[in-house]
Amino acid sequence: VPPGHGSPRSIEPWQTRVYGLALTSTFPILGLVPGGAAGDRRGPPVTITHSDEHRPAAGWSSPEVVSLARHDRSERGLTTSIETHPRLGYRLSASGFGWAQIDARGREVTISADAVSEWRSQRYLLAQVLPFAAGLHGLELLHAAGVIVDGAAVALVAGSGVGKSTLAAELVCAGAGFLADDVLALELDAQQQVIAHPGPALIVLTEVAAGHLMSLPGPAVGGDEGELALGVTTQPATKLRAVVVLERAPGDGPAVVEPLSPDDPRPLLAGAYETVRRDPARIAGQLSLLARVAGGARLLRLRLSADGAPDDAAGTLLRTLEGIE
Amino acid sequence: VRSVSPAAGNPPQPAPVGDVSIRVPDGVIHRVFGDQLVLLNLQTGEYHGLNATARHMFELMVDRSSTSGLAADLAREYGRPDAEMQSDLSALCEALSGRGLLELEPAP
Repeated sequence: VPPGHGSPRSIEPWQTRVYGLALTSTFPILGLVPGGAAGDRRGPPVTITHSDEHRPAAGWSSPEVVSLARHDRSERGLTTSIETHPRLGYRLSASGFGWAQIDARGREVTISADAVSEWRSQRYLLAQVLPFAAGLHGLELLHAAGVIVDGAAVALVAGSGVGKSTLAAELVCAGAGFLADDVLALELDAQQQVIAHPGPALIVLTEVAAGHLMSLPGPAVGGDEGELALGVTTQPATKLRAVVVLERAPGDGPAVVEPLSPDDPRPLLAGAYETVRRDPARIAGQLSLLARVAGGARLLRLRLSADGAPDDAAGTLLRTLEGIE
Repeated sequence: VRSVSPAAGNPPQPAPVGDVSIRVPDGVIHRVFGDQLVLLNLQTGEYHGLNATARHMFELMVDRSSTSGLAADLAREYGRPDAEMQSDLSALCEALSGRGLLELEPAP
């Protein structure tokens, strides 16, 4: 993605699948390819268009607007907000990235780039806007990378900076399939099994983290300011077999895997990616899905040492997963 | 997630609730996690956890919509005195209703 200002060029509408959505876009999106992952199932339709308008649409300054979340990260010069309007739907914005409007049913997304680079604008779209739209369709989102080991999905749950993308990259290099880098969309299928959906076909690493890998899982296709986006191939939606909560431990000891009790919902609740919408239907759906996760998937904790090699952690995790039915 | 226990430590003995009708308020959601039951009070936004024993009591109460005869049944099931089960049941009802997780009304 070339640096500098500029709106994405408009093209003929094209379809793809991401986060469980059947997406139609009128502009190219990095990490999404026509059709999506080969063999992936259909999802609720969402259309995304680009706007050159940088000011909020009429109505977003009315008293009916309710602020759902606002974060000022002054150290990064970043302000993010999510607002809702009873008829207009939702408006997400992030200084230096842009804004997006999503209609109340989650079917129509309009995004306006306000970014210093097209990569930043698309990162905002991929990491914030599209996951929020997926949530409006009942998908639940974990702050997690997702890989496929022995035909089943494994969620690597962690906050930013813990190392889930690096671990996912190592696992992909070791032969695992790839589902998602940062946000894993889950839903119950007709058989009440928990299914994990593919995200964008990108693994985003800091250049420092990439430098610690023995090999890269794919070519560099984007990124800026010390971030490297690597192009990888996503797999179709897959039944979830394990949830691995990543934690950083001090020191340089080996990575350690230990079981987590399915009785305790806190690690799963803490792994929720979108905590803004608190309406009863959403909360009930979230608790139902997480209860199914606790009842059907193995829950593990992977302690990563601060100085440990990512290939050690990947090897430890793979050996543990081999012993799980 | 706050733990709700029918008899945590040695608290003052609650007054027996007697036979009461049981109702889970509309704003309370409960789901099973392993052996535990997690209850969410949407009004307060707080999650609460019942261990396996308290979960069993809760499910029996909700199934019957009443505590009528429940202490005696639990006493037989666990091989404990009726009075002890009545006390535990009263403590659980008091704890749950105090957190807005259960509505109690005198049995008709």
